[in-house]
Amino acid sequence: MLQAKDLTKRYEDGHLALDHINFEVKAGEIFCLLGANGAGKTTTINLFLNFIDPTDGQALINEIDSSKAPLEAKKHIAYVSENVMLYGNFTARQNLDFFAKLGGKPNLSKEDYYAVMRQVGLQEKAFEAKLKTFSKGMRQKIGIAIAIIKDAENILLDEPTSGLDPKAAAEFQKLLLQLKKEGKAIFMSTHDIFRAKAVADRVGIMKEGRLVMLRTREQFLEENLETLYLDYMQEVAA
Amino acid sequence: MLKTLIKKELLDNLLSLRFFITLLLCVLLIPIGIYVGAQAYQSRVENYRQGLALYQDSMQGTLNPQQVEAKGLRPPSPFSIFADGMDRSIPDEFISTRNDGLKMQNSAAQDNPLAVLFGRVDLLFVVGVVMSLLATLFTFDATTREKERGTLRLALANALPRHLILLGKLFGHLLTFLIPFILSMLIALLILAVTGTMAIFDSVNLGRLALILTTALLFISAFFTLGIMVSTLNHRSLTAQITLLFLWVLLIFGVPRISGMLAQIIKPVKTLQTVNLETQLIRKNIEAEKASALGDALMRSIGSSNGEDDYDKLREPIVKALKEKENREILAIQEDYKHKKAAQTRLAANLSRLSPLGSLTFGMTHLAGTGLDDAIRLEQRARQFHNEAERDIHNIGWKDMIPGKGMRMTFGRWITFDEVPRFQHQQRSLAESFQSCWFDITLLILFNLLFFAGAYVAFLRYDVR
Repeated sequence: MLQAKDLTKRYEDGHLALDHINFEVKAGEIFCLLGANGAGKTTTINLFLNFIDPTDGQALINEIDSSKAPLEAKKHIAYVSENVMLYGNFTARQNLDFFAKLGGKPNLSKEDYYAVMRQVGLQEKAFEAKLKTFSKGMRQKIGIAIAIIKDAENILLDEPTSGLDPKAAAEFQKLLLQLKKEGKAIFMSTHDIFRAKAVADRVGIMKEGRLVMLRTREQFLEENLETLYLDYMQEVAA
Repeated sequence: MLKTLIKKELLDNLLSLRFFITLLLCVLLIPIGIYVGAQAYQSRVENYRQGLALYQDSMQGTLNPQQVEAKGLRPPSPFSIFADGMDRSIPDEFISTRNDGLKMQNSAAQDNPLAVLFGRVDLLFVVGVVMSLLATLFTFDATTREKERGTLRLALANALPRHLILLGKLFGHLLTFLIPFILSMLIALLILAVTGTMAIFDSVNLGRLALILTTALLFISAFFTLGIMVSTLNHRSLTAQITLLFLWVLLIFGVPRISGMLAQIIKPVKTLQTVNLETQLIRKNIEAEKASALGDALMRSIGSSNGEDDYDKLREPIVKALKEKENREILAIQEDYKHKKAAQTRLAANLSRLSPLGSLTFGMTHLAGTGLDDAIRLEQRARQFHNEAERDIHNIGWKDMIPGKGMRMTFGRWITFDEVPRFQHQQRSLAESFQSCWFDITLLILFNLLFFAGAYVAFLRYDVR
């Protein structure tokens, strides 16, 4: 389970990036955080991963404060970044093997890696190909494979569908629902309102560091998420 | 976990272009440099042997002690193959004569002036200049590239302590670098063994070589940690590369060369030419004083019943006292110069140690027997040889000048070559060499620790976003 409790981040230059954010993502739930660039979505992820320290509040992973016990907290979380670059001179399997070991899975076999790569929809011929020959979509699939192979209870996804073609995005959506079924707590920051609408159990909209809207699936389906989002964005522009 | 990180760094580096460039440079430069050095050494050993034989041939039969030129030849240091140091700049021939004193000559510099002008591609050069540059090229993006391609975020999203990443980078990079270095050294040593230039498997030689290689590795490692530190202090590879190139130029070409000039400014010492002129002036003044005193003595002895015997009686204490005065005054000037020069050299050496290249150069040349201390020791040995020659042969049958009558030599006796002192110069033992270089080895260890501590502190605070 992921919890943000009064999570606040003010940078040294005085900019308030996050202002007392509160939310939680339960096991078997997908929480999508929508918002314009600079709204604070990535800052929220950075706080969960302890890349920065909160000014106030807590980012809890399975009730472990990520700023107080980061190493313990990170055992329970997997992360997929927006631009998965990885090691270009390594093959897909070698990349997977390295990050699996870092994630605490030292004894996986080649077949285990192949199975995960099949699961994310990577073609067989790419398994032993060098990553520098991969398209963005293929690299993104490896990024997701890395998160899957760690088998953590919680997954953080930072703009995972950005730059993916519609087919790859649809495959990704399927995968996300499968992970949800497995009981993972999934936090996804995204601009992709349609994808959010398709998979999210709850949606939050961020504006200038504040969580200005929080809706359950039933609520946002009833109210029309696109309209809600555009209304909030217009308010920002105004 | 550390094993995984080291393995990843190794693989990442081994598959990179810079590894092949390093391999190529190491395999070309180290064996060729050592082979050329070995050939030059063999040629110098041959010259030394021939010179010794010719000298012995020229000293057959009976000799006039006042005309004998006692000659000392210095054998080249076998480890100059690895670190030429001062081997070509210090004299290799010493000639002690009655009239001209001690003359020192350097034929090695005359034999190969270009080697003196440009320096040799020995192991010291390859490690000090080439390897340090390659180390910076290997490490400038150690952290920044990981940040730029997002792998650092991904790695640190796991329960991975930051210091492990840093250690993984250091050991991984070093191990990658050691592969071409060790391979090249093995080829070079094989060449030495096959050509029979050096008994490389002799325990003393092996010990000396092991210490030379340890010093080299500590230096290379210092540049690796420096590179990682600079990479960790920057967020863009380009900035890190420019910073490192600047530091490399400063540490390799700046500090060691400027240190000598700075020492001359901070602790100025008069030139050797001035000292020689002052010495000549003292001798001239003493000669004048002696001429006057002996002239008085001569006047007093004229007309006495035992003229020449009386003169000799009067002469002896005058000559002795003035000789003592001359020696005292010259020694004072020379000692003053020696102490000031030693202090200046010490200061220059210590300033040059601000760069790891200073420690590498002092460490390796001390171990190779081609360092500053060896040059000083050689000069002391040459002066001792000259004193022995003066005592044992040059002064046989000599009497001082009598004013107005020129030199006065009374023939003492003929001598043979057996009576001529021999110049013996032995390389310092391994223990003695180590005593001279332990400080520099310690300093290199400290450089490693300092740079690693810098990298560690910077990496703990490194913004991976």
